[in-house]
Amino acid sequence: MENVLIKQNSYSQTTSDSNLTRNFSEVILSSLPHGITILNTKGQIIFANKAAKKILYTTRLPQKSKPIVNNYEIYDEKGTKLLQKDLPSQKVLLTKKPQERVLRFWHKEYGIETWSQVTSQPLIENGVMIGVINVFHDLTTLKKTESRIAFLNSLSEKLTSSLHYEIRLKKLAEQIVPLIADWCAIDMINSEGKLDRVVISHKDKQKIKLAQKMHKQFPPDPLSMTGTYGVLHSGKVEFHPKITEQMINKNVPDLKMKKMLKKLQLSSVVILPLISRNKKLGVITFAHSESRRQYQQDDISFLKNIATKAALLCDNGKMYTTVVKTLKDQKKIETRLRENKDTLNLALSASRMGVWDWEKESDTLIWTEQLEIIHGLSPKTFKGTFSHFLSLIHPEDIKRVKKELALAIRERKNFEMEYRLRSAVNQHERWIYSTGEVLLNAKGKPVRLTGIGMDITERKNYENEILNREKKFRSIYNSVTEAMFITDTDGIVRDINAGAEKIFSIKIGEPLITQIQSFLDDESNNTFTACLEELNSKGVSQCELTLSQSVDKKLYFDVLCKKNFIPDKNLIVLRDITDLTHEAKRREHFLSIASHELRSPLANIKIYLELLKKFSKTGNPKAFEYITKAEQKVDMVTKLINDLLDVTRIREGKLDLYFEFTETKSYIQNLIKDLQLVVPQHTIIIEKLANETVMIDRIRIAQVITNLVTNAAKYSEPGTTIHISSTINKKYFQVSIRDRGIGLSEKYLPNLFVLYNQGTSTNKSGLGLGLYISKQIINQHGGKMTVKSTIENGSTFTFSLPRETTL
Amino acid sequence: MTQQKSILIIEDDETYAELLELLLEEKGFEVDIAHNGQEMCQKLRHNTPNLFVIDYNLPGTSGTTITKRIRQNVILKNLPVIMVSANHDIRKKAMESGSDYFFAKPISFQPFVSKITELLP
Repeated sequence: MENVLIKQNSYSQTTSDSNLTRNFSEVILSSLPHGITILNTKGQIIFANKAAKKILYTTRLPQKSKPIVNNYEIYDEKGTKLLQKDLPSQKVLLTKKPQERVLRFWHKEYGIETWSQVTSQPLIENGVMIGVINVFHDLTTLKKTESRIAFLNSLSEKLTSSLHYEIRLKKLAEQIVPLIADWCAIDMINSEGKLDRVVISHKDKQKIKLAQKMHKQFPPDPLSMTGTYGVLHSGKVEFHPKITEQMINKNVPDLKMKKMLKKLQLSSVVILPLISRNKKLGVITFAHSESRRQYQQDDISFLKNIATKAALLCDNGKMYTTVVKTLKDQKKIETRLRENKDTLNLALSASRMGVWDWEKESDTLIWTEQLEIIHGLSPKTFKGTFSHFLSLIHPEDIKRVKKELALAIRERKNFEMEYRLRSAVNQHERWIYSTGEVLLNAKGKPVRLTGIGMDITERKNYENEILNREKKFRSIYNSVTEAMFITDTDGIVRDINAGAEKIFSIKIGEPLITQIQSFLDDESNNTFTACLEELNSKGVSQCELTLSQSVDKKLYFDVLCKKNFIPDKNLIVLRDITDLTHEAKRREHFLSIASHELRSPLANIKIYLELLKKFSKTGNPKAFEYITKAEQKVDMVTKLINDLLDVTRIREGKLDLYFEFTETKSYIQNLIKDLQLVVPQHTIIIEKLANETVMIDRIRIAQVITNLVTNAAKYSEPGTTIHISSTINKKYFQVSIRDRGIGLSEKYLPNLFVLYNQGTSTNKSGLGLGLYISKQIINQHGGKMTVKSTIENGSTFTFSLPRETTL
Repeated sequence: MTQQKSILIIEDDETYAELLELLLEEKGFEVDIAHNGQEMCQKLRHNTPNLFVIDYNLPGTSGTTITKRIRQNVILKNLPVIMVSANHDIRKKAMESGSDYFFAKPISFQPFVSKITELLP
């Protein structure tokens, strides 16, 4: 270049333009890779080398007289349209200083776009400017690539932000217009195999309305061999580099449609099929109109690229819809989904889910931001390679992940895997779930894998917790001394614990009852059968069993059964209470000895006194009186001992009743006759006497009535009356005993039947067990006992017994 | 005077048995005593009583077992049996074994005698 300038400098300024030109070696200039043009001082191009012609997309020099802007629209890098005076060469002519600028030329005739870095320098000879030399550095390819990369990047970023494929397609179309096309339309196959226009995009809304109107009035013919349906059927690209008015006139018969088409000013159209996994999903149409740009053959591969992406979007979109449906089952997310408009996006972030796409051949692994976050990376720091992905995985899981992927690729099938993150080694584990599909090319070769990744740490934690619980249960299950059986609902043994193994030889897979029967005597067998029946009807049941391990060794078990303790499984627990039973038996034995030993001497004393009474009748009259008093004391002590033993019995749950058919009238009459002798200072008045036959323990009920009557006497003045009445209705046999005594303050009533409670009595003898025992006896009869009392007005004790006892 | 009714008392407590004997004889009954099941069998070879008074707590065969055997015996099965015991809890057992009545010790003598009179044919 320097040489050129020096050479040129040797010519005088007055040399004519043609001479000037001729003196340059066209050969040298032509061989230069840069475009070079030379302008005279009037700004007219007087020379252009081959490269310059190519850059400017022309075969001949522009006419000298016409400015360059007549043929081109020229823009700067920011997209500002430049006028002739703004061009670098013009500025050089004005300022005589070198200029440099990146320019975009748009060829008005061909609609071709080129980019150049233009350096303009003054041609100076002897201090005088004789012209301008422009050097064009072609940036077209670079610029195209740059913008396409930016475009694709922006696509990945913006499109993954929403997963509803229609929203994503709309966003895609918005990105395409006007950078890639003036028009962009996407049609998807519906369930009837017809094309639905899902998206149409243009910067002018009025134009979109027009296009929509046309599409509605003149829908494309599904049988057509050209246009959207043509592309859909053939699966091949339809490319119209230049659409002219003649073409429209020739091919469109309808006048109205013709008019509309002309209004749309389409200049260049490319229609591509949307294909994913060998499935036709629809078509995408790119068109230029008012910009008058035209698509070139080399644009097609780029547009194909976009179409592939769009197809993937649609396909994935459907996949995500499925995913979201699954997610919807999780109520929490569902509720939040309802609250939010961008449901899918929220679903993704709420479920900590991201999308990935791996092109195997080029090792391009695209991750959405969410996926990066899930993997513990900052947004946009994922390097996009498979090895970077592997480096994030827990060392112990890498091998497995590789294996899973290799298997999926080899067998061309969907895959699912779970892996931990390396970043969480030695910390709380973080788990990722990944699922995806292997996408094949036309030849059935796996080319890419695409899918979703999800943070499942919480789920894993939950699973682990369950596992731990299960472990805990297992360890308890096997370490307790209780024998445990897990059976099906139909009683087949499914599992037994160590405790059960020690006691019985029980086989898994056979009914429990038939296996346990051989150990039980007839009574226990019936008990156990009844217990299992109760389990089925009530859900829980309890019983006690006696098992004979050998002739002289008996084991006692407390049995607890629970139905569906886990779904469809019953738990039967046998607690060995042999020791307890023995203890209870010992206690029982002690009690019977104690009661025997305590009462026997009294029994003897009583008979001695009885005999003494007979002999005393002949001696000192005082003797009879003393003996009678001694007898009363014996009776008192006997009653105390009886009460104490009764309480012990009640507390042991061993107050056995003996029920007999009883005629109420005679029963009470006889009882009162005896009782009147016991309370000689009071008059017992029978008010009402029902006559029925009831099932009661005569002795125990007599004990109750005796208790109530003696109490009545104890707490009322001598000479007063005690009233007894018995009534009977359909359900109850009821007895009331009313006195005219001191009565009871209301505050004492609730505790009246409580053990060791003596009511208001301060100076009255007794242990205060009587009412407690009475109430317990009535309870054991299945009846109830109540009291009504007012101070100074006496008390009324009433008990009612069920007529038909089930006891 | 009608023929004296005889009562066989089966009671291991000798003193108590004798005292009962005294009281019952005083009421006009003929009383014999056996201290256990075996002795009872011997007594029965010679005489059949009109009523049994059986203590529950006996050495060897228990009072209830004896009652059961009485109820199975062709000659004895319809004879009244009164069971007595210082252990009140065996009342149910006593009644179930076939006794006609149960008296808890210490026995109140008056009701005891009226019961015997009531049960005797």
